[in-house]
Amino acid sequence: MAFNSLTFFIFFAVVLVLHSLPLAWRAKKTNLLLASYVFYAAWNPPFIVLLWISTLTDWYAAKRMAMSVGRRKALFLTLSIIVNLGLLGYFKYGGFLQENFSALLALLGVAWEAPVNSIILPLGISFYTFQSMSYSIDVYRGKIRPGDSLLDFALYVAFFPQLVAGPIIRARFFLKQLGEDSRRRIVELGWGAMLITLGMFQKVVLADGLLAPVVETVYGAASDASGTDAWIGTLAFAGQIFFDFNGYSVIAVGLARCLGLRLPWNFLSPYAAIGFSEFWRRWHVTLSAWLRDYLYVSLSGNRRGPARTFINLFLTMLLGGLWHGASWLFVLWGAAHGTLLILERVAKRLFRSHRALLDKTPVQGVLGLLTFAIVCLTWVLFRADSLDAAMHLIGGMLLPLRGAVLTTAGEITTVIGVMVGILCAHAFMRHRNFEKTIKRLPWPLIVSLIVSMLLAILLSPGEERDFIYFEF
Amino acid sequence: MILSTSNSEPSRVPWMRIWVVALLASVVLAGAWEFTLRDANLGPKYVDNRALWADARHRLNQEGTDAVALLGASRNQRAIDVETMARLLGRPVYQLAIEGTSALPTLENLAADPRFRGTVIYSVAPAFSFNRRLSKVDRGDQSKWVRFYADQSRVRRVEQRLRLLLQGTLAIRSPDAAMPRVMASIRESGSLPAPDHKTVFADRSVHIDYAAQPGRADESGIVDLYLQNTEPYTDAEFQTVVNYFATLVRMLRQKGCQVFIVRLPSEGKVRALERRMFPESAFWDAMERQIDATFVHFEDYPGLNGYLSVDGSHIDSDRNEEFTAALSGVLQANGLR
Repeated sequence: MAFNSLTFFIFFAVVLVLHSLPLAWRAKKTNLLLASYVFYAAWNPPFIVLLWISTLTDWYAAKRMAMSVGRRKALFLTLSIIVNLGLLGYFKYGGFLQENFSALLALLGVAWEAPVNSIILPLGISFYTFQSMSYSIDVYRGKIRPGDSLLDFALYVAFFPQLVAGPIIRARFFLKQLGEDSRRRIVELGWGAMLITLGMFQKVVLADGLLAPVVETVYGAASDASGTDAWIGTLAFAGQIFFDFNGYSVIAVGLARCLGLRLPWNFLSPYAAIGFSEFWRRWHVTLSAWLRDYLYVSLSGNRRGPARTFINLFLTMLLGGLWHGASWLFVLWGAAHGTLLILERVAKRLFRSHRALLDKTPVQGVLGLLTFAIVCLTWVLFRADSLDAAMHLIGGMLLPLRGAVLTTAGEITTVIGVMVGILCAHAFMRHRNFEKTIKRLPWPLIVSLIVSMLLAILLSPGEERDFIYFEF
Repeated sequence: MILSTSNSEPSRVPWMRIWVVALLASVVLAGAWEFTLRDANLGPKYVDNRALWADARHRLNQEGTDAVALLGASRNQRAIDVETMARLLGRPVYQLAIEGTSALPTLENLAADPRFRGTVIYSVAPAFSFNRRLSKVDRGDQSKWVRFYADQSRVRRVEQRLRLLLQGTLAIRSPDAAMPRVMASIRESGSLPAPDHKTVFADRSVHIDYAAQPGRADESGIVDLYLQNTEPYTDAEFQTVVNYFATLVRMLRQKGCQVFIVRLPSEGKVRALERRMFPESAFWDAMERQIDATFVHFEDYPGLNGYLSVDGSHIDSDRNEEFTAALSGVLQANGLR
């Protein structure tokens, strides 16, 4: 049941009505938990068991950790990590490992054919295992105490607005909200509905309607693409993935808000970032923070000198890339970002004495555009179907290839128009708060925006497409 | 960790007023646009996509031994009027042909499905059935639709039904009224666009109105497309495909299914090219010898000729009911129960 479906619209209307009934807060939370399980089971009922396994393991492990010290405490943390990463490893990386093992044996002259891989990737497993595991790690580190309510914890893991593609939330942030009755006022509904409309507009109109067809044209025939196609297709993908994933995240925040609960933003005008470390503080914020707090810091972060910091950065991004999917292209994408983060650190040291020059607005603008262009280059690795296709497209972007252009003049104009729009919007919002910006608008202007978005959604009869991050 | 949450709500914004006005304005504007489109003859229309196909495939499952499945490419889809054939045969008929593809993946899907025990009418279009260049790509495409159908959950099917309901009811959801199309027309001519020459119905029958867009009725264009994208199978490749085809037909017949393999009409330059690139003796006759099905070639039945449109490759949509009646008669004469 995707957010951009009519069935979800009906489902959410029922949830909202139930949540509005004058029931005890515990009953409302039970309703939300049941609704979350129905939401998940609607995709593939048996896989709900995996959600329960992850929930119960971390609930149990955290309780036992609170009663243990030393190695025994570490043992329960290990249990949580093994179960969660085990589920993730089997369902997400099983086939990938088999294929690579088979290829490795072939290199050694041993003929072994991997059995046909029929493992289905459970929806959202990358997100809820990370979220559930973060609870155990926080309890182990003493940052939070294990909760008293299994109902609250189960809802924290399974809360449907963010279950299948984030934002990845922290227990101390969400459980605190569940402790007290959320008073759902009309202002919450109004603001939540506004966010849902905005997210839907980004997904249905911009990502699916305008940009996805161009991306499919170019990446579907990557070996025939000219340099112009490579740039247009990749710019289109940079826009598509932002509007798709940010659209999803904004809808998730809006849905939670309608239910009186709050979720963190996942994107903070990322294409206005100046430098790659800033990009990762603005793109998929909750995953970046998860990787930093639970992987980079665990690897010793920047506490053991520059060389070790570089290794830690590289490993964190490499694994972050692999988190996105079982493919060497994602590993390469992660490695590319790891390398860029290292180069940025080196460059910052080299140009330390030129700080004043670098802080000048025009230089910042150029650096921002350069960051965006390089991020676009790395998107090719993320989207291409094969390494050959990726290399052809990157080659076309760096050394423009001649050839028949696959994209039409109309498509080129649309992509450039949308991308200039997004860059301007992100630059404008770089240091601004979204809510406050909306709050300052006169109400008739807000009405005009909502009506324009609603009509654009209604008039987009394109084919229903899943959210890109559902595949991860 | 500092999370940038949506904490500072815009509490002084009059949301109730905003939403009441926004919803009213949206309904009024959408209603006005709906009337404008209908007034310009741009009524509700279906999109011939994998969702519509999967819907037909799901409904086929509910029919048991009675069902007739039509497989093939655009020739089949444009030639057969589903409603007419269903009436004449007295059986439910489902159109599963997909434009520009080989239907082998759908045949494979029906052969492997224990619920399907009906009749298959498989239209062989040489350019898609025996073409090593197109068949690789297009078999893949038809496979994608089959996989889309096979992977659908119940909720997805409900979603699909709801979307089709909207498509069949609202002109604003019609592909003819898609914003890029409307904007382009207004930019070029200052008026709303004419309806597209292609109309798809809920049962996936297709009506082509070449009078609306004469540029589309280009026989030479079809020939050029053939020449640019056609490379007949080698003998070995053809034999592999025929062996597989024969296996699938055997599986269907073992379930009690009837299988008819049909060659629909073509003429003029298209036919001449087909004779040259896919001679009957090398392809059609070889299939007939090796596959245990009933074969119907249009050249063996004079009653099937004379219905073609100006493109030389597809039946004239205005005469597809007549052609459907003629074809149904031929199939019944050949044992279709």
